[in-house]
Amino acid sequence: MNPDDRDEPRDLAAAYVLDALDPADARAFEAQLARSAELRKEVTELREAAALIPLSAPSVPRDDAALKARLLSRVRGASAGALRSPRRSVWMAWVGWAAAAALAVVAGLQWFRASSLSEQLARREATLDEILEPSTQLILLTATGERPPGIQLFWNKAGGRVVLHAFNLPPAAQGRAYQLWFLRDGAPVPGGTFNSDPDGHALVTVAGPPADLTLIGAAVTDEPAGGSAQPTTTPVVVGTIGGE
Amino acid sequence: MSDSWRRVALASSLEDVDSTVGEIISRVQAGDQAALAELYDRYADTLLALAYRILRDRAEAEDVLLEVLERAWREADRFDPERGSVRVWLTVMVRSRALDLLRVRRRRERVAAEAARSGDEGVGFRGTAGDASELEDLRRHVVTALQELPPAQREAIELAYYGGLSQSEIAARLSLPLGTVKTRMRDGLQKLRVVLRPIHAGQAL
Repeated sequence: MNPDDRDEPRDLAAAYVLDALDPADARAFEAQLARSAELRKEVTELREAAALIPLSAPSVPRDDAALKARLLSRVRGASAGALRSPRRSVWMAWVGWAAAAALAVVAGLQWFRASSLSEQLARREATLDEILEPSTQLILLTATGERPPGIQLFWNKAGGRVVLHAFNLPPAAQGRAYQLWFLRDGAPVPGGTFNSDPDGHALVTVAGPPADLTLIGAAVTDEPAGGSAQPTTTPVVVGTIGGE
Repeated sequence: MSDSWRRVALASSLEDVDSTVGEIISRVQAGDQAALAELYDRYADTLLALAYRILRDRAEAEDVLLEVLERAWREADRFDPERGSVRVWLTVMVRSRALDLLRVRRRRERVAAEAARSGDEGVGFRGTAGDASELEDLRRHVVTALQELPPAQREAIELAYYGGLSQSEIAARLSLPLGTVKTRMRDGLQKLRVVLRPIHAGQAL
């Protein structure tokens, strides 16, 4: 891509919204986007306009009753029930143990299961927003060894969320997952579970520690896929606040 | 009816379509299946039209519609009104999914040119018998807005929106300098935004 100084960020916003930017332009634009609230507003407005475009597409004859029946049979039992309730009940068990372990973690699970470029971009934008928030504190979790895994936690205190970025972390075995722990003076408080990609990376947004907790550090352990109420293995990585 | 008056009327009709959708989303988040059916009633027509316009295959388009609504149901917790309206959330998901399938198909059939060109029939418009009249008004307005764009700008937008092509791909397809495509796309969508702003600005959410 030859550098083209004539492209003002605003000029790229339309193509960005249409997912039509070439990769180098898209990266440059996202860097601008992260810095400029005005540009984000522009993008939001253009997205609203673009979302009206399909109103002009010809309607397709359809059988609403049959489609709705298919839709309901897809969701019945399969999704809200199966995906939400059991996880929630796992979390509920923790609430008793750890006071206010936030239920919102469910929303962050599998945040980065990417399925398309535009969604990846939208998520990246959301992640940047979390990381660039002024109250965000970085906590490094480290280990020792030849090619040690590492985790960066971007703790957005205002939003009560944590963006977790892992590297060199081999995926947990079948039926297992990694679990984040918030360390305090006392028993660790359980955080969200996640897994890494085959290339050892993970990028997830999970709930932050309970607001009333005095956090002294964080750790990650290998646990059963549903998560544990207290650590059952030795931490893979550990880090404390304000130091190594 | 004067144009500005007409836009005010249209804004309020989009509000009819999109309003209270926040309340529906809350019910969807709570697992209310009736709320999911309401979401279907509001958006199925546009979403299916979008998927079909991209895929040109009714069965595939229906699958995309159902897949996205199911996903909206599962992931309703992730909907963030600060990042855009429900309409944006759903159309972005449908368009992404349909374009993914289109790309798979293009690779399979190795007929990239044919697939996006098939969208080149101008802006067709046909309502169905059951359509709510306010939705019809909105559509006419959007169709008019698109038709009033210079054809070259509309072509650039449609090749990107429905064809999933990047600016470089569009430039290659149309044998145009990249800069020309960039300008057309920018000017076209900015114009649409100005014309359509009174409508989407009226949206609840």
